[in-house]
Amino acid sequence: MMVSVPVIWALGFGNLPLLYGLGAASLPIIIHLLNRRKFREVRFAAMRFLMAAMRKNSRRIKIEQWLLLAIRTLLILFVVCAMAKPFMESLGTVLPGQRTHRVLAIDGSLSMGYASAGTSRFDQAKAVALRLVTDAHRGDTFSIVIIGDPPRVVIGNPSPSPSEVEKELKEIVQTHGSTDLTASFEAIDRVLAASDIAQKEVIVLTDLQVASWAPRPGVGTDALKRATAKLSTRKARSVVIDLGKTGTENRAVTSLGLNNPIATVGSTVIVNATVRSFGTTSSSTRVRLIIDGSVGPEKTLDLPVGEDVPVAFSHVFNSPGDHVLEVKIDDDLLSIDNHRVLAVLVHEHIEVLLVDGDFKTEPFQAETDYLAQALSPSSDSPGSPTPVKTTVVAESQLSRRELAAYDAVVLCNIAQVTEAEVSALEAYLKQGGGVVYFGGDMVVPENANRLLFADGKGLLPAMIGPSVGDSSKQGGAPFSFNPLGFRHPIVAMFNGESDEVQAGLTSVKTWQFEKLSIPKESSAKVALAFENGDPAIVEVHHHRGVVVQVATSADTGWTTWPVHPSYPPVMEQIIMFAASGRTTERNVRVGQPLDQALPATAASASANVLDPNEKSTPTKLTLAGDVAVLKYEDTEISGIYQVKIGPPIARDSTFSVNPDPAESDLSKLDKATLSDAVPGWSFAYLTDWQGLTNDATSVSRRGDLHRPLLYLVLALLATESILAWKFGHHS
Amino acid sequence: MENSQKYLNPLTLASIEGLDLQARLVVEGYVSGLHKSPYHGFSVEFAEHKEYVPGDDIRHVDWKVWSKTDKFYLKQYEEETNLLTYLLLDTSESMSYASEGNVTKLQYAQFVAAALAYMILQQQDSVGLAIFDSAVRRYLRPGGQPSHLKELFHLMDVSPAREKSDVGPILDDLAERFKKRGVVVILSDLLDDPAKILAGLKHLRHRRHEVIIFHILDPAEVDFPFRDTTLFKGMEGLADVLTEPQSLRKAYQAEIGAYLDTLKKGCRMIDIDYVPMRTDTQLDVSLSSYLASRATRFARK
Repeated sequence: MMVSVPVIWALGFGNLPLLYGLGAASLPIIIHLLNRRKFREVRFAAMRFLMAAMRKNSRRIKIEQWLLLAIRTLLILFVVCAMAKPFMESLGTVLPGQRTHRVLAIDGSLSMGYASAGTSRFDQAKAVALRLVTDAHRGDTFSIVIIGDPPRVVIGNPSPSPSEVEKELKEIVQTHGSTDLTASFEAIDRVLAASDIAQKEVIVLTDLQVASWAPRPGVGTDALKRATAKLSTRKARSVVIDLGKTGTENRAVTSLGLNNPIATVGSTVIVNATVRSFGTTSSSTRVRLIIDGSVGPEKTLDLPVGEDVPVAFSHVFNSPGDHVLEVKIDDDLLSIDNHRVLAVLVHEHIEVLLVDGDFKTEPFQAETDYLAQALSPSSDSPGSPTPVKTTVVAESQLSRRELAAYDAVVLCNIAQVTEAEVSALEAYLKQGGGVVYFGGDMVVPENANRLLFADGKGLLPAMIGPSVGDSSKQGGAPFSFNPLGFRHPIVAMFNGESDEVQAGLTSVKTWQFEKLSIPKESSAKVALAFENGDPAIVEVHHHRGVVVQVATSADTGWTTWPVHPSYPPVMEQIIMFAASGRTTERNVRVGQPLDQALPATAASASANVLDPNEKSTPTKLTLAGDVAVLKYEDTEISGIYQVKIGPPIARDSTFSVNPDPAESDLSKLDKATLSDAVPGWSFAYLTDWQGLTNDATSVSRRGDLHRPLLYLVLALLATESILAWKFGHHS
Repeated sequence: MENSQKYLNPLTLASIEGLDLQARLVVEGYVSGLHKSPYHGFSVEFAEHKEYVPGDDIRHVDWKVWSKTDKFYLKQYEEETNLLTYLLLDTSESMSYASEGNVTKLQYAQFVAAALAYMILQQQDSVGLAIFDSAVRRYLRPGGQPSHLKELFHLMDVSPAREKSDVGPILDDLAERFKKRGVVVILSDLLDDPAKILAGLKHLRHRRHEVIIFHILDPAEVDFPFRDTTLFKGMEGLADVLTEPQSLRKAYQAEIGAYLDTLKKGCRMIDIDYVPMRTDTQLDVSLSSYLASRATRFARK
């Protein structure tokens, strides 16, 4: 049953002291009385007629006089009231004189860093919030929530102490993240629930950026509706203070990466960046590459509106270890997104362990011989020194190797794995390692499926089915590859190349392969397929590492691939891709945790995180199964984070944290579009942040009455003139 | 002519000393502007003796009467005077009222009375004068000698009394007093009960007098132009009234309009010439409009 809530209206005044002026309403009465004391004297002869007229009209004249007097008094009353800026508020909102629990919800997303006239929107929000606290009535309480992804509750239990709230407000620093609106509303609701004060008010200080407030494509608004409905049930009044009125022009570096997932000493890497101009005007900018803090090459780019403009620099790293690349453009009003950083772990070599399930001593008889030669050509081969260093071991040696020392482990035609070996591989993947799994005639699918696939929970992305084709009958029709448009990074190098080059891949004849079945809910991707549609290469991120599963053999047992020119580059890409796990974990988005897995022996080590503001935070490693995990959540600021892990492993790691490029688009919602974006949310909408900074009492207003009052004054003026004329001349 | 015309303005006239001069100015200014005498038709059979006063022409002494009575009487010939006119001048307190920029009603009435007396005597007719407020204060019997004019002006030139007028009973009184039929000219603001006034007038008519009323009012009494809060101080013993006159204007005008209407209708019923006069109107305009219409009326008879 619907319960109707009676609406109670309360009157408030913006300029209360002006109400002293109501005393002026007595002026007409005083003037009237004075007029009666101040009169002309006239001797008059025709008194009998005057007295007769008086007798008959005295009552009417009195009524007219009172009416005029009342109108004149009301005129002054209304003018004074209008000057005092009256406003009406209704129940469920804020009644003056009652205690109020106010939740200050400050938008902490990156776009709030937009600074006009030297003040960022975030600072404007803080200024208004501080004024709200200063102007609060005795007994009012405050909570503070930072709207973000994730939202942050600064003061959860409502604080009645203005000094405490002010102190917290001053200490809040802007984050560089995006916004999870639903989670933010839920956080606000939790904070509202923490107070038993009946009168509640949520004041949202935001720039109403589309990226933060508009529904994301593909994400429904149901959860958001539920969250806002909760606010309604708590009868909390919402006020949106729009700080995003000025400026939507912005330039930003929207992406930064390397052409290769792995960088090695001495080899040339291509640094790819994308720059974009948002807003309505095209511009140009200089783009600089900064390597480990030293200024590198510089280019000038023209930026048409709304287009991603790519820029590339080449660079050669001369030393192994952690390096920092930064791409920077000219400053604009939103400076946070004018640069982007990349932490690069440069390898001396890429150490690859090839585990051979069909180990033979004769050349090119063993399962891994072609692969080893492709990845690490012998020293007398022409070309640049290869960055890959391979170590070949027999299947039986797998369990004896310390896998953490390798960037990738390749399992070729392994008949059976033991549970211990699987555990070692899992631990290795948890530390960001890469595993490549080739099929072959020795593989026992049942063993692989049980231990390595494990119903989709294991490390292999696809279940191994029965073999397709028969390598012993090579006279039949072979299977060739479908490159799937060369979209996957592993085969992307062939994209746009000549037919001859592409034929090096597409003319490969495969006589036999394992039928791979990928579970429906899996995040695994097919990099290369066979013509019949069956996957040939499948990759998946598992733990912090990467697993690549190849349906055919690494040697020429099932396929002619090893003797095709496409074999060495694709194998190198597979290894690079598999080994990229350790690099990927170094580069995260704002708000995502720094997550690094280390050997279990590191669990006792001390760790320290140095954030971009040079603030050092001691942190602890936790033992999670067979690895020690470092997890650092406080990545709300973009930039470089240095992680120092003490003995026994004594390792320094560099992480880069970059903002969501969507935050750089400053297009915003207005009152109407906000109502559409957050359906069912009832809110008051204010824009004058500077006015509010001086006098925040108007935040609590619902309906300003001074304008209607002034109209009433005009109407009364007209009525007074007409009546005075009528009474004077036509009575 | 222009020179004489300017004296027809009541204010200008008021600045001139002496009623005889004022009357002459009015009549000459007026008569010189006419082609035809307006007094033809003032014809009533009439003859009497007048007591001799020093200065009278001794040629007209009736020696027969002297021989019998040993008193000097002047013989007034029937052909010498054929019109007997009684001027009734109200000098009550209300007649002293004048709004700003105007002469008092009494002054205006004096001008009119003097001008009429002057004209009548010039026509060799007789004219008498009664001055009254709450009662008849002075009375001069009608006379036709030029010297009579001086007496009339002397009598007329009085200050207003502090008494209220009581027109009705006075008319009754005078109706009894005027033995011979004549023309009774009343100059008053008639601020009294209209019923009483009309009763008095009826009495006069009953005595077969021809009655002419010059009803003299100040423009302020008709228009009631007052604006600011005003204390109206009553004359003739009436109470003071403090009021905002703007709000009463229409009601006042309705009251005085009804009164004037009653008076006008009452006069018409008993065949009395009712002549309204405002003290801001030029005297020739006031007189000519009436006298011209009267001349026309008598010419028709």
